[in-house]
Amino acid sequence: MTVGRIFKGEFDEIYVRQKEGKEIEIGDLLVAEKKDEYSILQAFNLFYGSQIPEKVKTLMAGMKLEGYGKDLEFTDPEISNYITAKLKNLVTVNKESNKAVSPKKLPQFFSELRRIQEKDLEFLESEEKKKNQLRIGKIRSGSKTLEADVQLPGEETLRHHVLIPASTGKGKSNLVKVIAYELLDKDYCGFLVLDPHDEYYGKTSKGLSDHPKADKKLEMYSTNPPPGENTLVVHLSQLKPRNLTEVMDLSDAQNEALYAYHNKDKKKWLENLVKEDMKDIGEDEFKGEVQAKTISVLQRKIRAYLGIEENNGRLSCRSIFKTQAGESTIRNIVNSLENGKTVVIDTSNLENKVELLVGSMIAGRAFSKYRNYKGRGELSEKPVISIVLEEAPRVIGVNSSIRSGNTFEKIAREGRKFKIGLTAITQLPSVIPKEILANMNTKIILGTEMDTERKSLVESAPQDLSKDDKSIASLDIGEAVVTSTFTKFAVPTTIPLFENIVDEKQKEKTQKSYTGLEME
Amino acid sequence: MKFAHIADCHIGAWSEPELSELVLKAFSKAIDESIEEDVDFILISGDLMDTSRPSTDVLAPAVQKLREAKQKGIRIYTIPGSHDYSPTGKTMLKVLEAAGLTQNVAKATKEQGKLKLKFTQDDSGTKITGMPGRTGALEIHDYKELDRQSLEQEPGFKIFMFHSALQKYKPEIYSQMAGVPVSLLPKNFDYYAGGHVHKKGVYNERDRGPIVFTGSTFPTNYRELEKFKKGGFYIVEVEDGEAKPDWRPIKLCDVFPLKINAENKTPQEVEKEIRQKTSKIDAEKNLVLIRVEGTLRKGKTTQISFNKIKEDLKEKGARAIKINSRELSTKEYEEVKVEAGNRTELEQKVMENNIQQFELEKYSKQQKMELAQNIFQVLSEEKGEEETNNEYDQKIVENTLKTLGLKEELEEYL
Repeated sequence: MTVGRIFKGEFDEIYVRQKEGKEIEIGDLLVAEKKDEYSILQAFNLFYGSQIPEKVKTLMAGMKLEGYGKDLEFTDPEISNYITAKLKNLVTVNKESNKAVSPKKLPQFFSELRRIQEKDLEFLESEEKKKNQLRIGKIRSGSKTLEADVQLPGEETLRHHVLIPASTGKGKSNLVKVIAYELLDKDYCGFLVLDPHDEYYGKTSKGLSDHPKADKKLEMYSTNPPPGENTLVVHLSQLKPRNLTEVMDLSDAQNEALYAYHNKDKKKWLENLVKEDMKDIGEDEFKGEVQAKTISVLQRKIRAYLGIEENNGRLSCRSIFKTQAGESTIRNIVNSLENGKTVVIDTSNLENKVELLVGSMIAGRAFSKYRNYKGRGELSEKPVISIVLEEAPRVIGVNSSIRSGNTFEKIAREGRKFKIGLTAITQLPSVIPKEILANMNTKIILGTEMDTERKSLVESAPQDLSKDDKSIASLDIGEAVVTSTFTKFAVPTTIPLFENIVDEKQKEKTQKSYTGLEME
Repeated sequence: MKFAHIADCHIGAWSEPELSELVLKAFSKAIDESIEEDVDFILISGDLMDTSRPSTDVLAPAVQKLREAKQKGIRIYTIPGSHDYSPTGKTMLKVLEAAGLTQNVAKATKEQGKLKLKFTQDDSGTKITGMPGRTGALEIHDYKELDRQSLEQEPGFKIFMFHSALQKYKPEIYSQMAGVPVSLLPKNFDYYAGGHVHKKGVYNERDRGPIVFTGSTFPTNYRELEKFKKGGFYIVEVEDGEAKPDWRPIKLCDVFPLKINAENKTPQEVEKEIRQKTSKIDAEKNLVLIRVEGTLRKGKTTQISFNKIKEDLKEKGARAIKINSRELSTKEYEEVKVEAGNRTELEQKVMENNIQQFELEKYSKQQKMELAQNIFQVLSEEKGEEETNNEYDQKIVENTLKTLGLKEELEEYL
């Protein structure tokens, strides 16, 4: 079982000689035992070691290459040449109490190292921790997957934001699907997914709708919903000036005009504004506060943004905003989240700007509702709400496409106080401001090829990842490193393939009786 | 071809006789107008009755009305609504159907794991089917099992009756009401006769005829009275296979909704304001609604003589007066929110939080608590088996006065 032995090093860089016939991989988890405790170490670099002088080795290589001394070998080659691994100490576990602590001392000098086994990770699963757990995948040692779950305290993790950074094709959507599927079984979280690629629900392939509890726990809104799901349509009256000022580029005068109309008629203000005939605006319409020219420009901007047209005094909208339907849509969505459901908003047919607008309306409504609950001392009874944001820098980035200080930014900065968190997905964590990155207390890092992006992750990680640059760069599809304030160490993880976890056989049996219907 | 589309009559709603009578009158008016219009048939999209087994007082005149329509050769088709529904299936709708007055079109068979709705064909050739409604939109699970293809491919002029709020078209006033997605309504019907939402509306969807909610025939609660003032129904003419709904309001009287802001006022000021406002309206034969909201600066809410205001309006001939003071409170007795494990604990905490409001100068907080607890105990005593009512009453009064230390003072009056 021994794979190596410690022979030198210092606290954060322990050298291990690899045993002949065994292989240590980058990322491998190895165990060094003491009488009362054991240490888990992880390989972060590998290099050759040899007892043969440099000149001799070079000569030997040359001879072999040029065809001399075919039978020439080193004496005791397994002793003379070997592989050395550099390891970092991840965690120390007390054998009796099964409690893990961050390492503060070195493993015994010259300790033997063995491969990690599932029983070495039992400390991760204490009874109290099992409640409201969020399973992300299995623990990975190098490229091998162990039968031990990577679990986080779900409610706390989601409340303190989750960042999912990865290069294209490294499995971001698969991971979010796995998380959402897991959450459909739990009641502690309302999960809102803004889905720009229509890939979560599973209209045409396996998706969240295949979950046994999908009927009760999953809702989907789309401009073209499948039977049983909801139409994504929002009544114009549901838009408030704040929603527009967040996403549109407006001057101060235009902002004031929005509020002036809203103050005049809280329900029909937007309809009135876009329908307003300039000729009808009297001098004292708004006591001289709003100029006709301002209104005219504002009308043009809003019509273009919302896709509104006017025909014979009637408004028609190309996008999801209507004057005939959708009065309760935002409220319904927020209520569902508050009831611990997962809501997928299919935004694949929407322009980027409309997606952000509707997302910010929902997020804003949920935020203010939860803030009120906190004020009334009722927040503890509510599930956490997590909002999944694809391409998160669009809204929380240094150069976000919507106004700084927007709802998403507010949630990123102070949402945890109100039990609302973001699950932010990005290829470019480096463009998210440092203080927001630092607020994201869990990072599920998938393969990230760009050096600058890795650097920003290492700098903002809850654990010391300074030695993990190579292992992050070499993460394959489905491999991740979970670094969180809720784990004792950055956990190497294998994310399961979503298709493999969907078990259609589990679909709940359909009911037998039909109440109110006369069955013949 | 012409038909009437009625829903949410809620016969038996309202505990006040005057309002209950208006509910019946509205229903009668809808039937009378349908007869006058010479419709081929009437659709009642659920909640004909307010409960599955209404009292005979309201049932008898309603049945009489249905009979009048029947005698004129008008067929009446129904589906059960959330209020007509009974888990045992014993509903008044069954009785009406057995008497040949109405016909339930919510009929189905289970075929190959799917729910196959049956069509009922009217003499006019119209094919009608529908789904019942349940409280909390529980019918959604049945909708998901529908054999949609057979419904959508059925040829001819067809009507789908339903009793559910539709998420997409749910008005803000009913935003808390559970609903079903519009995508669950099978396509290709020529008319969708909706019920359950008490606000009228006609909505158009691709691949579907008009989706119509009639609203109730008469408002069924205070908020609806305040907002809608009246009910109505639709007369639908069908020309060249196209259904054209025309709303018929049912106005039985005027409704005067008054709003009084009691914030930071005294009971006397609020009463004065109510009287000022009511004096300006023509209450005779009409409905007066008085909503009082806010927190009084001082005094008790009971110091506003709502009963006297009611009596005065009655004298002026008002048909009915409804007063809504649910949002009225006072600074002296603010609502208290306490958490407690059981009743005794709850009583204790409520007392602790409020005891200082009792103006008993010579009593410390502890003494006041003891006094309140003793009174609670005295008043909680139950009547003994051997005791007569009189003996029991006398004992309770005596013990209470004794506890309050008032027995001797009031001796002469007892």
